[in-house]
Amino acid sequence: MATAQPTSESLTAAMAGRRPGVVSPAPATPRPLPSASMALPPVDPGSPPMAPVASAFDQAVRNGEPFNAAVHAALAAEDPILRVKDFSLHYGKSRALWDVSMVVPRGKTTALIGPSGCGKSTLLRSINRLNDLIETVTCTGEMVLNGRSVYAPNVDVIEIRKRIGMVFQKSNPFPMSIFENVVYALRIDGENRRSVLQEACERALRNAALWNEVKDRLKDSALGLSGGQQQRLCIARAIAAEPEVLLMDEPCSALDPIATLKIEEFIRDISGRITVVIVTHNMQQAARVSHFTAFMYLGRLVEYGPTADIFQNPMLPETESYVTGRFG
Amino acid sequence: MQNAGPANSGRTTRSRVRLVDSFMRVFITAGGLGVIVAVLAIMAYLVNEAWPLFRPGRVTEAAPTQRSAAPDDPLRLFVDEYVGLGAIIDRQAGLSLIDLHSGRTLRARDALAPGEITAVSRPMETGAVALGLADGSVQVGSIGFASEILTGEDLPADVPADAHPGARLSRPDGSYLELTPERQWRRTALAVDFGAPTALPVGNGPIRRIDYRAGSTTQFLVALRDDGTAVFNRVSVSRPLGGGKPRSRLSSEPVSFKAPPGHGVVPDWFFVTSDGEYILAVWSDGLAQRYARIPGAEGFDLAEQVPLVPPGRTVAAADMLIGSLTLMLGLDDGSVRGVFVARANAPETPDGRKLVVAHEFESEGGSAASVLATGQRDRSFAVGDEAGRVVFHHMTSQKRIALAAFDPPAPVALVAVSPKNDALVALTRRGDLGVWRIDPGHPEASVLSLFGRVWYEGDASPSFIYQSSAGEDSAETKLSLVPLIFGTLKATVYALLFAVPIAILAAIYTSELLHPRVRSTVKPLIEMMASLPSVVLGFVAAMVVAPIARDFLPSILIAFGVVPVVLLLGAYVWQLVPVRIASRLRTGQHLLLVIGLVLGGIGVSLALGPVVQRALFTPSDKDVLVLAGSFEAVPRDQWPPHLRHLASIDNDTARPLRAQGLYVRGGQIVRPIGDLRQPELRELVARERLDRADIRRWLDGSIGSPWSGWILLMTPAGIIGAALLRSRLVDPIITSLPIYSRRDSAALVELVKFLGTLVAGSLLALSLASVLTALGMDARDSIFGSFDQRNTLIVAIVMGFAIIPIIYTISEDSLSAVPGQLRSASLGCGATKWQTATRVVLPIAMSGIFSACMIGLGRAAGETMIVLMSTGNTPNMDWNIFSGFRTLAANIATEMPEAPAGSTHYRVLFLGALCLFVLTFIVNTAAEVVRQRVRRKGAGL
Ligand SMILES: Nc1ncnc2c1ncn2[C@@H]1O[C@H](COP(=O)(O)OP(=O)(O)OP(=O)(O)O)[C@@H](O)[C@H]1O
Ligand SMILES: [Mg+2]
Repeated sequence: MATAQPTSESLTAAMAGRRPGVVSPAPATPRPLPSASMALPPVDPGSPPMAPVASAFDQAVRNGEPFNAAVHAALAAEDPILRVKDFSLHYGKSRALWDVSMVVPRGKTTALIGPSGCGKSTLLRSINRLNDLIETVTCTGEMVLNGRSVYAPNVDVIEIRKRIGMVFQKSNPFPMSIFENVVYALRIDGENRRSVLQEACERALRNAALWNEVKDRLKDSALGLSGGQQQRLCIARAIAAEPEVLLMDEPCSALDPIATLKIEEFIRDISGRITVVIVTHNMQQAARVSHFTAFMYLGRLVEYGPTADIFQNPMLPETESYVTGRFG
Repeated sequence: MQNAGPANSGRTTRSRVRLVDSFMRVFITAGGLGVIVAVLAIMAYLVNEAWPLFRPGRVTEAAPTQRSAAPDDPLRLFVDEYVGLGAIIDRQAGLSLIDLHSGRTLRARDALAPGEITAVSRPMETGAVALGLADGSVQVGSIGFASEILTGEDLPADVPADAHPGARLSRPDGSYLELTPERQWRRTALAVDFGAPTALPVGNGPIRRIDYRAGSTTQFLVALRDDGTAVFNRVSVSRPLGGGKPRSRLSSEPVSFKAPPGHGVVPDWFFVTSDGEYILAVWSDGLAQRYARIPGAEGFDLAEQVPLVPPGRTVAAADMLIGSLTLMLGLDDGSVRGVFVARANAPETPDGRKLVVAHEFESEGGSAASVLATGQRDRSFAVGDEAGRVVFHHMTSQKRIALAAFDPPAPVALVAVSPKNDALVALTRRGDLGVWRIDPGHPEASVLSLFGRVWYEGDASPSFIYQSSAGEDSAETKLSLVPLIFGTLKATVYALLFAVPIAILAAIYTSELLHPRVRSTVKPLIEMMASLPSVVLGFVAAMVVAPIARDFLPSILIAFGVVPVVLLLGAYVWQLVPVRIASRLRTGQHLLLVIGLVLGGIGVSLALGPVVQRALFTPSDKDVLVLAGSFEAVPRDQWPPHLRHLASIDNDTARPLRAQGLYVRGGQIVRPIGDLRQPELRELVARERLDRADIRRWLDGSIGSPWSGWILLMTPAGIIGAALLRSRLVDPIITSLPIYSRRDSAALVELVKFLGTLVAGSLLALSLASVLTALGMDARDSIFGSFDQRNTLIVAIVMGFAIIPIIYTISEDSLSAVPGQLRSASLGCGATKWQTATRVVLPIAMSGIFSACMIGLGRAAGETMIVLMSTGNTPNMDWNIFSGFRTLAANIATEMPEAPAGSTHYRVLFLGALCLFVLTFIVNTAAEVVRQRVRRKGAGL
């Protein structure tokens, strides 16, 4: 599976050069792959990916147990907005999350990485309880947002969701006009003042790097946009109501490099104000935008720490092989 | 060859696959085409059965014109049923008989009766004729033909044994024999029967004009004497029970006849209508006088005097149409007019009735009409003109049936339509005899009579009426399909009004709000309702729902408003319940809660029904007085001026008088008198419970004011209006208040807002009701009206239940088909499930829901058993929700068994089926177009 293979060195360099200030501790260019990785035998895609050395993680997977993640000490200093404690989730009988425990620091960007199917989206959807829609889902453990438990019986789910924006893996614009898509969250809150809506719409579209492309056709159907534009529209929709937390599930997977860059820029801009949890398969992106990175694997949180540490000196061999592209 | 195996086997599979593929293609194509062909074949069959209705009749056989004796001053020609003999009666009461095959004169101008005859009535189509004599006496009788089958010794000896059917033998006595297809000899002979002369009681001098109209039990005779005195006589024949000689009684009434100035004392035509109500005198310049029994005068007096033809035209021929209520006038330009007395509320005549020209037939060729003859089967007539043309028309349907013409042209002197409507016989003044066999087709059916407003005899104006089986022979069948189409639409509209909101809300509820596990049990349950046979539903409607609706009418009416209000109230109160408690409820319990609320709403309606009835539909003291019979008549000169001319006032006209304290009893205006405290009145009121509140008495107009109905109708409208106003004006202000940002206080605000809306809506309704009442409008003229036990409300409810499952199922499917990621997106934005459902899911599913409604509509339009059993099947045309109606489908089901194959009635039923077919086709096509547009809007998912 393609990990952080640089598609174009020059482009990466160009992007690195244009980055304003130093927001993220991520390296300007991806670390060169160790020469040893080239010598490794190719991974058979049919068999479960295995770390080369039997480790505690391997043991846990083999025994069907949770795994105690390697959490870097730097996280202890952060002010958590979201605290996940021993969170497990089942789809019917099959278990998708195994006792995940992590804290998401307030105002920072946290990246979730991991091979496909490892439960990143599931974890993300658990935060705003969108998993409730799936009838077979059962979950245990704790999820505390701003000091209030998300799964407590007396919680107002709608209230929670209003404070969390979400961008989905597959773009899902409503079959309405572009304008109505963007201001949807405001509309459902009963906001009908034209000026307020227009202002919010423009701001959100600018942030989602879509304004210039659609400003003349806000009344047109959102379904007439291209796939990438639709995804940016969904981003605009998620940020229009200025949420506290923004959950992004591979927001840039359908975008071209320029648009990707703009979105990343936006994410960096809002950091400090909005907490972002972003799922990505693009290591460089994770490196560029996030302050912290969590590596998940087979439903377990494996390693969690400052992005630079995860990429440059991970504590666990599994993390290292994943971020260097040796499996996954 | 190592590869041959797998390659070969690969090829065989492929050809198998291809075989299956091509087979399936052929099979599916054949199936699809088969369906289309079947539908088209049904359509073609219906068209084929209905089409002959619109075909004109035609002349099937024209016998060569024969020379015959030229009739002298002739009055009428009669022909026998088998078109063998023609009898001519002339103005001198001479009777001639001619053989229609050879034109030979068999008898020439035999005197009908002894004595000097001075007037002969225009004989009726039945042959009834009256003679006026010089001495002032009259003589009535009849001219006709008698046919009998001869057998054995009755048969003359010279009858050939080897004759073929149709063979004809003239007898010296003027009769003829004909061999029937059953090889029997039938003898047809003239039969003339006159009684003794009777002296007329009034006037002097010979009788100049006489008319005689005979029904089965009553006969009317009018006569006008030389001195201008006219008299009306009624002869009633009573047959004693148990046999014996019929006894006849003659009673006379004077007629104050007075010829208009400048006109002859003796009118050119003088008729009495067969109902004995009117005497009509017509002068050849088209001026007509109508004499009627004017209230307050003795006998007949002049009721009106009107010209019946346009200026410059004159009347060339006049006669009565069959039934003797419609006067036919043939004009000097060849056009024909049908005139009758209409029950119009005409202010200009003393009896409110009016002579109207209801039918007009353009002239064909422009030469003057010379003679008219009525058909004897239906309201068809033939008109002959000076140019030798005979045109056969139907009066009511205004259909031109056939045309026959003499060649060379000669003025037509006499025309007769054969008793079976299958031949036209005419004589010219020169003595040419023409006999034309005709196939009349379906004279009563025309585009006008089937789909247009038809002016039926006696009606005030043209109207749509369906009445396929006429009560009497002379009454005509009325074939307008419009009331049936209307009934179909009415049933459909009301059923959909009931079913669509329930079905769609239920679909939204199950697909969006209900837990999937509960959904999987609820959905099949509702779908099971669809499999209930409609006969069962109809039976339940007629036997269970109808009596319940009758007994609990007020409760049922208010339930339509109370149940939604209770549900909404429940929802608002639910918002107040702390989340801690609310979230404990499982979805199944949620459903139970909703059901409980609905039941609660019904309970509240049941409890409130009698209260509402007492509050709105209690009769006033005046109402009670009139009901108790304690009233006095208001003299006519104190009546409202616009009503003074009316002989009798109907209910609809009477209702507005209530505002002035006036009532109508027996068609006359009355005013209540007396005091309810009088013991005898009080006792009567108590015994008959006259002062009880009763919505049904309000509906039929005997008590109450329009206000009560408006309140009932306007309350929902007022609440909806208030809610709309609130959302525009008040909501923006409230939303910005800080109190609104907290959940529980916001819920409280919402509840208060809702209650406020209810109050404001009721106030709005009160004012609307008062305004509408003040404007003189009454809901009893439109969607309310008198109550039949089997009515539209029942059909709406029961048929609604029949179509709810279909609409529900398809709507639910299309709602469920909306991609889940859109729901996630909406919920992720913090929308509630209801917001998600209405703002995202519903617009996308709209095209499916629309189809669902259309399929429901199709089902409702074609539904037969429910409407058949739960309405009175009266072909009414009003939107009154408490009256019955008749649908096209129910009409076909009830009448098909009694319609003889090939008859007009039978074909009209097929035309009804075709209409239903076309109606469904149009609705479905329109629905499909709309659906495609809706779909295109939401396309691209
Ligand atoms: N609706 C569902 N029902 C049952 N199992 C599910 C459902 N959604 C996800 N899963 C399972 O849960 C596991 C985690 O899925 P998830 O979508 O969280 O993976 P992911 O890490 O987001 O993968 P990707 O990177 O491909 O998006 C997978 O094994 C998947 O098959
Ligand atoms: Mg995913």
